[in-house]
Amino acid sequence: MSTPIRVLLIEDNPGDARLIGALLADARGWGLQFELQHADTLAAGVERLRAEAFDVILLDLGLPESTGLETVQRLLAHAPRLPTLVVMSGLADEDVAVQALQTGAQDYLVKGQVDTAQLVRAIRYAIGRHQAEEVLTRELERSRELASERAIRRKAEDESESLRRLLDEREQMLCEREELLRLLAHEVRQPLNNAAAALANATSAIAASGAHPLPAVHAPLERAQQVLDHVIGTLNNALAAATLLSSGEMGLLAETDLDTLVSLVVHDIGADERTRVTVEPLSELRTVQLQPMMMRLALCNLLVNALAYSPPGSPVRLRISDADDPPALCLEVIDEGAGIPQALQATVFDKGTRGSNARPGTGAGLGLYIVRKVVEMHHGRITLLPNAPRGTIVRLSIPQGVEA
Amino acid sequence: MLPSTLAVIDDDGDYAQYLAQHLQQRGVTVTVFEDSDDFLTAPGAFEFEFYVIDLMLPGIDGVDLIRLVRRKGPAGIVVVSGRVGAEVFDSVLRAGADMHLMKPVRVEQVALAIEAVQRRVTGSRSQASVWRLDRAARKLVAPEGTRIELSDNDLTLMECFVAADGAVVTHAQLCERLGRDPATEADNLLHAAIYRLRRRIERATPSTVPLHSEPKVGYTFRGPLVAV
Repeated sequence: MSTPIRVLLIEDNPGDARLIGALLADARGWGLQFELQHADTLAAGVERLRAEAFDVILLDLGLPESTGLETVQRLLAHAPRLPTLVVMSGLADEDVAVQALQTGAQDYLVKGQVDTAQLVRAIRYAIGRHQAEEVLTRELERSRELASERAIRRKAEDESESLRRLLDEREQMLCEREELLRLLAHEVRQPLNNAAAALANATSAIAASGAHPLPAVHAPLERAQQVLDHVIGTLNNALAAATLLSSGEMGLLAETDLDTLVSLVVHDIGADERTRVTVEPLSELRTVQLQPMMMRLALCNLLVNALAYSPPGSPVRLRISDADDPPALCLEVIDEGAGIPQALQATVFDKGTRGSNARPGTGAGLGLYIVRKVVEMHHGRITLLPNAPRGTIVRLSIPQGVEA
Repeated sequence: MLPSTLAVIDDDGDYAQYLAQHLQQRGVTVTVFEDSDDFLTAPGAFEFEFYVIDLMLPGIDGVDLIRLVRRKGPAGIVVVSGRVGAEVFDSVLRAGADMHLMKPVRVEQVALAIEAVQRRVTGSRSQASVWRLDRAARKLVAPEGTRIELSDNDLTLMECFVAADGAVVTHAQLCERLGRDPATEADNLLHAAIYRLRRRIERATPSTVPLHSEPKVGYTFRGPLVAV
């Protein structure tokens, strides 16, 4: 025997209810078992529906609370997910029963014209139709869900595809950038350096030969030397900004011989301008703790800047001292130029800033930016001070006696 | 003070030539090798007084070459390279180079670096340059005889270096001997103490102080040091 079909009968007429009960009991003969529960008002029916599950509802359209189509609508309003619904009506309101089919009922029965066979068939067909409808609804919902899932997935795929393309492009650009930097560092900078060395050798050979230097030879040679020095300097800064500083990693502080560092820096300046630079060693420190490559670049930039922004021939001093509490190395570059305008002081160490009195072709505005980055990496401080009677003092304070 | 013999190992022929010319004018006997294989197969490769090495070499890598040369003896090594990057600087010094110069450099600048390193090499690596710690007088005696007054901290630090006999003394050991708890001690107090010791010595004597920092580890006193 199959599982019993659970039936909820909502019927106010005790006689009709008894009749339905008897008809269903007869159905045992067909091998079918029904489990009948009876509610005599719509409210009681709704309560039962909430409490347990039923396979089918037999609903009388004429109840004390409501009649006709309204009964169906009220039931639907209280229990939107109804099991199979079969409505029952008197002969007089068969029209209403037909309308009920459109509202959600699966079948209707006319009271007084029903035998067991008809009732059973109606219930079973109704359940079958209801299940088919449910399946259809579920299928529809599922296919709607699938469609929207597919749309979402396609969108995500599109997005990740374009992201991947972007990443590939970025990777490609980084590779090209690396290659370009390598090219600049080795294939451009070094030959330039060699050309500068060749020129210097030629100049000193002419001087050594004892021949009186012709102005027509000497001046162009000197000019060529200056141009080379300048291009090499700009290239150095650009490479440093692109590699050493962009990584933010400075590497180790090293115990550095201060005199050697200062001589190296002074010799970074072209021979013609070098004579303007004087070093004032006021410190007894010989070994200092810093990153020599970076500090060489920073100090060289400060000197080049001071030389470029002060009157031709005016002196530029590099003063070296130390402070004790806390221990620090103090490096000052002192010029006799026009000073840095107040308005420019806040941005003078930014990338791309150039003095208003810059001469044409004086760099890309990277020099002081590199100074700032190098000092920051050393956890040091930059101070701008006026020089009396004219000019600027740029003071770098580099902590000493710290973790290497 | 320049060395009397020097090897330049650099595949940039032009540059090596200009450098050789410049140094020869100043009395140095220079031999140029354009790659590390030429250098390694040359007789007397490890008998030069000084080495100038480029990092971008055909043949064995520049850093390996530095390590090799350093293993053979205390000759001065200056690395001149076009390679940029802080990690290059670190790896070169760790391999045993005395100085790293980033190209471009003028030949005079290389000569300056060579002189500075040579001064340090002959100063701290020769047998005669013995430092003495005079415990009774609480003084450090520099190789040339200068007597340097030491503070309590200086004396404690120097005793650590005497005991270590040229080996590394760790930050923790130094802190402990200074009577500070290495766990709670701000590291900078130790570094500042070392800084003051070094400065006190450098003020008193022109000798190169063989006191070296081993980053993240500790300090070494690399010269001969005895307590009396």
